[in-house]
Amino acid sequence: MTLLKHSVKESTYRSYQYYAFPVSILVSHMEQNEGVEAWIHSNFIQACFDERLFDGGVPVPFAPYQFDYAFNPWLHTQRLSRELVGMLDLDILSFIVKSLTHGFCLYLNADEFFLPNRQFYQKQNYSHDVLIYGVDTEQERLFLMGYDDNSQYTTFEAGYDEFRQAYQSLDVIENHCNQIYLYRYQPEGSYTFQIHLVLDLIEDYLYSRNTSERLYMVAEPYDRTYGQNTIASVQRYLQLLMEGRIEFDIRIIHYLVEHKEAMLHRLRYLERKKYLDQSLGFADTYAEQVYGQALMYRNMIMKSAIDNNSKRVQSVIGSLDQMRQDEHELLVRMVTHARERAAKPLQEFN
Amino acid sequence: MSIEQESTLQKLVNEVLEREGNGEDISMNANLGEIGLHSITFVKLVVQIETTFGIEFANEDLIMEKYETLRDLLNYVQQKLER
Repeated sequence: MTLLKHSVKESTYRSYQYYAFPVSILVSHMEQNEGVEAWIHSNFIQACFDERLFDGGVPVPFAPYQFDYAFNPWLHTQRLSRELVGMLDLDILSFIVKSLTHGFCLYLNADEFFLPNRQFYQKQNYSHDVLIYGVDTEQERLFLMGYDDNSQYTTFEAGYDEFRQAYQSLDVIENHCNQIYLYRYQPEGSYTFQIHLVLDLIEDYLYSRNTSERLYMVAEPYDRTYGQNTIASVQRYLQLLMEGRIEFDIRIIHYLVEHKEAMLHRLRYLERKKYLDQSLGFADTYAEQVYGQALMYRNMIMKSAIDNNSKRVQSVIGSLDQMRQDEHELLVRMVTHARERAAKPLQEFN
Repeated sequence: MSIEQESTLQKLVNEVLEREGNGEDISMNANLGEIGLHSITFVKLVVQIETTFGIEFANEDLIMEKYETLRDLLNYVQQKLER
C-alpha cells in the first residue's frame, strides 16, 4: 500500500468540527445512499445557545442540538483515548496507518503549532481537533480535514514527523480533549424519513422548546436557550460585541447562517419528496426572506470586524427581529400544510 | 473598461489571498471561488476595494454569490464610480 484515502466531503454542516467530521464521511456517500439525506434532514433542526458565554466563555456557544452525531446508522465507531493508546504502548503513527488500513478515519486532537495550513502553525501551541482520512506511506504523509488558516473547512496534509510532534505535544501543553475516535463507514445502515418527527422537531425550534427533555430517560436535560429564542441570544452577543465587551467569535454568526442553510436544504428536500406542494414556494421564500438575510447579516458583521463600523452591527441587531418573525410565520404555515398533506394518501400527489 | 482598474482589482485579490506577484495571472473571467476567494476573503476584498476606489458596497451586495467572475465585481465597482 502506498496511497489510501477514505471518502470525505465538505458540507453545509461544519461550524464545529466535532460534528463536521462524521457528517463529512456520511455526505460523501449521499449519492449512493438515500437514507443519509433522510437522516441529515432529520437532524440539525434544533439550535441551542449556551448563555454561559456571557459569563466568561464556553467552547461551544451556539450550535445544533448537542448530540454525538457519530451515533448514526452508517458509522461504526471505536471510542479510544490518548490514555489507552499510551497504556498499550502503541506508536501513534503505526496505529494511525493500521486504523486507516482497516477502513477507519481517526478523529483526535493535535497541536496546531506543528500542522501546516492550520491557523496557529509555527505561531503558538493550540490543541485542536482534526480528522485523519488518508495516508501516503511512500511519501510518509497524512491526509487531514479541518479548519485551515483561512478559517475554511477543507483538506490538507502533514508529514509523519509533523503529526507525531503535534500529537506528542499535547502531553505538555494545555489540552482538554483526549479522544481518539475511529469512524468506519458501513454501507448496510438504513434510515427511513419520518415526516411527523421532523415537523415535531421544527415546532420545537419554532416554540423554543428544550428538545433534550425528549431524552430525559437517558440524561438530565441540557440547560440551554433553544430554538428561535437563540436569535435573541445572538442579538445580546452582538450588542456586547458592539460595546467592546465581548470578543468577536465568527462561529456565532457562521452557525446562524448554517442553521438557515440547513433549513433551506430541508425545505427543498420536502418539496422534492412531495411532502410539500412546490408551487407554494416555501423553499424559495425561505431562501429570500431568511437564508439570504442571514447571509447578508453575517457578511455585514464580518465587514464590521474589519473596518470597525459599529453602526452596521446595530443595524443587524434590529433586522434580526424581522428575520425571526418572517421565519416563524413561514415555518408555521409550512408545518400546517405538511401535516394536512401527510394526512392524505401520498399517491394523490404523484 | 479601464485596464488600470482591472490591474488594481487583480492586485487587491492577490493581496487578500496573500499570494506572491502582482496578480496579473488572475483571469478576469475566472469564477471567484476558483480564484480562491471564499466568504471571509471576499469580505476582506470588499473592504480593500472600498478603501482603494472610494466607494461603499450596499449591504445587500456583500454576498459573494452575486458575482460570478472578477469582471462582474469590476462592473459593480464601475457602476458605483459612475454614480
